[in-house]
Amino acid sequence: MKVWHFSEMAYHPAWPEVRGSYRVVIPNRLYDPKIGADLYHRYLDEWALCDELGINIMTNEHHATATCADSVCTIPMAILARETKKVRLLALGMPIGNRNDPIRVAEEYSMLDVISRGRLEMGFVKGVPFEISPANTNPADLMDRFWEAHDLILKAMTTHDGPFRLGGDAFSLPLGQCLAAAVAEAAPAGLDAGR
Amino acid sequence: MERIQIGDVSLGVSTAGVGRPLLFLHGGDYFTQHQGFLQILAGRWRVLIPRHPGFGGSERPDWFRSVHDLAYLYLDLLDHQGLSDVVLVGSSFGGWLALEMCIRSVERISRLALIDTLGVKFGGREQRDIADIYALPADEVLQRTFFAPERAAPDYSRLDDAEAVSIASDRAATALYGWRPYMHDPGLRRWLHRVRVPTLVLWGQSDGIVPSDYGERLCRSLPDARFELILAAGHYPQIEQPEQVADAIERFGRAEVKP
Repeated sequence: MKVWHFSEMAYHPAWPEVRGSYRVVIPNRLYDPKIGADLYHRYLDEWALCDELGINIMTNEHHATATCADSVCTIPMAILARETKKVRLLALGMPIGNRNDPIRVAEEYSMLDVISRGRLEMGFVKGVPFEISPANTNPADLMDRFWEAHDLILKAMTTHDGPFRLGGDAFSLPLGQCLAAAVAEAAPAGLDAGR
Repeated sequence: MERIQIGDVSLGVSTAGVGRPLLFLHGGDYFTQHQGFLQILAGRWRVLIPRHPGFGGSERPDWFRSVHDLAYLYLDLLDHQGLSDVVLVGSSFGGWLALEMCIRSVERISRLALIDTLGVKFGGREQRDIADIYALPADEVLQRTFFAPERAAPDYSRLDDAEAVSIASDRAATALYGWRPYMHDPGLRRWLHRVRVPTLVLWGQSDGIVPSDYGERLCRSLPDARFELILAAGHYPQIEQPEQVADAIERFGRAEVKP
C-alpha cells in the first residue's frame, strides 16, 4: 500500500470574510501576505515531516481560490524536490488544456524529476469548470486540447535526438524539446485525471 | 429541414415561402423563440434559414471551427443555390457572420439587415463592448437579453430532452466559435468599408448585451447604413417585436436601390 499526504494549502483566514464564492471572484484584499507566508511554510513543514515518516507527497492547483492557495502545483514541488530525500512526489496536477505552452509544462516536470533524482509522479487534469475563467480557455474544445498537450509533453520528455517540429490543431512548435530529460527511461509514470 | 451538401459540410437548411430570397442567420441562443418571426418572413420572402454547423444537432466537421469558415460556407451556399439579389439578415452572432460574408463578397447580396449584431470591437483594451455572458450570473444575462424576460425566455423545466440537448449544443457551439477573442474578430473593424451594400442596422432599445450606442457606432462604420431603434425590445427584437422587425426589413428590402 502507498500512502500520500495531500494538502490544498488553503488560505482559511479569508473564509469568514468571503461573501459569495470562495473561488475565482474573491478580492485579494482578503489575503494578508504575512499570514499567507506563515501558512505556506506550515504546509511545506508538514510535507518535510512526511519525508521523515515515509509518507508520499501530493500537490494540486487552483486559481484565485481561498480553499486552495497553491496556484502552481510545481512550485511547492520545486522546494520539496530538494528538501525531501526519500518519498515520491506527485504533482496532480497541471490542467494542461488550460496552459498555453505544453513544452513549458514538460520543462517544469522534467526539472522536478531531475532535481529530485527521479522521484516525480506526473499528474495531469482537465480541471473543474470554474478554472476556465482564470485561464480564459475555450471549454468547447478543452478535451481535444488536453490530449494534444498530453501527447506533446510526453514527446518532449522522451525525444532525445534534438528538437522536433509540430503543427497540431491547438499547439504548433518549430523547435520542441526539453533539455532536462526525465530520469526514468520513459517519462515518469503519468496519471491522467482527464480520462 | 433540408440537407444541403457543401464540400464535406452537410448543412441543415429550412426553406419556406416564395419570391425574393432572404437568408436569415440566427444568433447563439433562443432559436426556438424565432418561430413567429420566421413565419412572418416566410409570408413575404423565400426564406432560407440554415442551422449553423455544430448548432442544434447539425453536423460540424472537426476542421470547421471559426466564423471565417461559416462566412465562406454561406457564400458557398448562395453560389450552390444560384441565388442573387439576396436580402441577408443576421441577428447577434448571425450578424457577425453576415458582416464576415460581406467583407469577402457582396456579389449575390443586395441588402443587408443587421439586428443587434456583435463581432466588432470599438473600445479600448480595458473596455467591454459586448457583455460577457460567460462571466455574468445567468439571471443578469437574462435581464440584459430581453426587455421582458418573463415573457420571452423559455421555461427550462418544461423542455423535453431533445429540446434541452438542442439548446445545450447551441451554447457549446457559440462558445466554440466565439470564446476568444470574446465574440469579435479583431481585424473585422478595419475591413468594414468593404460592406458595399445598403445596410439597415436594427437595434433593440433595451439591449444589455450590446447596447444601442454600439449599434450606432457600427452603423457609422459602414459605408451605406442607416439605424433604426426597436422599442420595448432587447438583444433579440425579432422575438419580442416580430411584426415591427419584419416590417422594417420589408420596407428596407423593397426600397429602390440608390443610384
